[in-house]
Amino acid sequence: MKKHPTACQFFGLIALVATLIFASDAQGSDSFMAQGENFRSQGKMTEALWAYRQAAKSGNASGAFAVGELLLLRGQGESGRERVLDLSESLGYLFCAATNRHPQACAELANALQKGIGVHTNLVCAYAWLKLAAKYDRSFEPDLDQLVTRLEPGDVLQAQKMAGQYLSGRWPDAVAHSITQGDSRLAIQGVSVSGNESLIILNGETLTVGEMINVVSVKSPGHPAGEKLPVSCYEIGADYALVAVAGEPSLKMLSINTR
Amino acid sequence: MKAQARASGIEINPKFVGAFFTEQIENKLRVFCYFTNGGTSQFELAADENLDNLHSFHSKLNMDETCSSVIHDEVVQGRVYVHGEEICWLYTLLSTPGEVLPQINGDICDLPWRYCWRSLAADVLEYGKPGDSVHCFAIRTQISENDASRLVKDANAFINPLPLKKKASHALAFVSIGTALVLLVTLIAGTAFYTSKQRANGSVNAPVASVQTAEPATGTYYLLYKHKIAGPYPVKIIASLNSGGLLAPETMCRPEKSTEWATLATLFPTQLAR
Repeated sequence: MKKHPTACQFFGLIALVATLIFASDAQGSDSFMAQGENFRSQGKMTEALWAYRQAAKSGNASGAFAVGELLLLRGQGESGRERVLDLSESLGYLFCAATNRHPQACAELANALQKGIGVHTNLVCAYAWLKLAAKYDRSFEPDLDQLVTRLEPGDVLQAQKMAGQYLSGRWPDAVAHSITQGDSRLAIQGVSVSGNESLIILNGETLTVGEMINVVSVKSPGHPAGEKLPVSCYEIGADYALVAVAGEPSLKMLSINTR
Repeated sequence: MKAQARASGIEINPKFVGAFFTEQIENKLRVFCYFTNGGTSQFELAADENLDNLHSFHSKLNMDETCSSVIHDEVVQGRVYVHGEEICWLYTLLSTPGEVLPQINGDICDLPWRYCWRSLAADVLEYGKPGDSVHCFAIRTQISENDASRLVKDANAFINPLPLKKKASHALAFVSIGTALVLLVTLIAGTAFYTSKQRANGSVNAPVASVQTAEPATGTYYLLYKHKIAGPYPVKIIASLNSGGLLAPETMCRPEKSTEWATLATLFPTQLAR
């Protein structure tokens, strides 16, 4: 008698294939992690970063944390636009690892928010992330007690509420704005950096930090010239300016050599 | 090899002394000094070469030759006479500028005092730590029943203070426990009925976030006030401080083994309604 595969056998086969794919992915990410550790122990940071990135791409939270940690270290040792870009990317990876319940990543985010590394200082958010870290790993509890003494009672309650939301899976959109390099509609003609007030000349208009103005876009592929863009300035460095265009999620990193 | 540094003398300004205690044990003099600004100092000396200096210092403090201790009135916030089973204790609470003292009442002996300095004649006790929201020193001396009566009379002290909370009689306690049990059973039955009804309607939702319920007011708690953490203290002490108005409304608390801070109103909802 000829046997026909039953539905159970069919789904069993699918499950087996899925398990194998998942296992191979997990194995792959584990091997990238091992490679990363190996490179790191030899002091080959660029190679380690590459390996960790591969692990992170296959969904490995420890890989994402390792990339974030390395970029954070590298960014803090840099200056100018390199620093801003590294720190921004680092916070993105740490956020990814933290939302996958990685305690050290939560603690690193808290540290960045406490000290204003790559992001504006925000002790309430810092406490919320540190509370998560302590929830997953009790060794962070003493840090939590240290931080709480820097908060006002209302802030503590607010931070705890935020932590509760994070724990139930309602994560914030991001910890810091993502940054894209350059924008063909915008061109910096000049930068003046001084202790008191820095300014840029953007599309012919003068713009200082915290200010918002309408600029007329320059001609670029896909965008006609003459479009009115409400632009606000976040930060001005010696070789860059960080600006936001209203209605667009990421910040634009503009340098004098953008065009 | 580096020679070890060694102090060759200690000088104390008698103008700043609030209380001064000494005790001689064999050939050793033990000294405890409480300063008017709340500072303390304790050290030991060789008796044979320091007795004259000690008597000289006593004279500057206007102490009798036979006395081994003095407490100046200016540092005394109050005294509490406590009758134990066989002995009486005199608690002398020392005030410190800028420090909040625990509530002075008949429960003073139940506070978690720590020994700061001990001698045969007196114990120096400390409550809390410097910088805590409530911190003070007290001198505890054992006195006779007769002395206690005499001192209370001479000082025209308030007598026989009532306990803060009257204890319920046994009969009343049984009635209270019975009522509580009936309420508890009713609550459980009601919850079970409500849950089964909801399940029958198919409308049970998975909880999105855990509901924050007030912890029962038992155990020990840390306090957070003006950016400082103090404790842990038994809830009884916190209740006592709170009912005495010694805890500011913005004080926060958390159970010893938790990281969740809450306002005092969560711990004592009825007391803060005062």
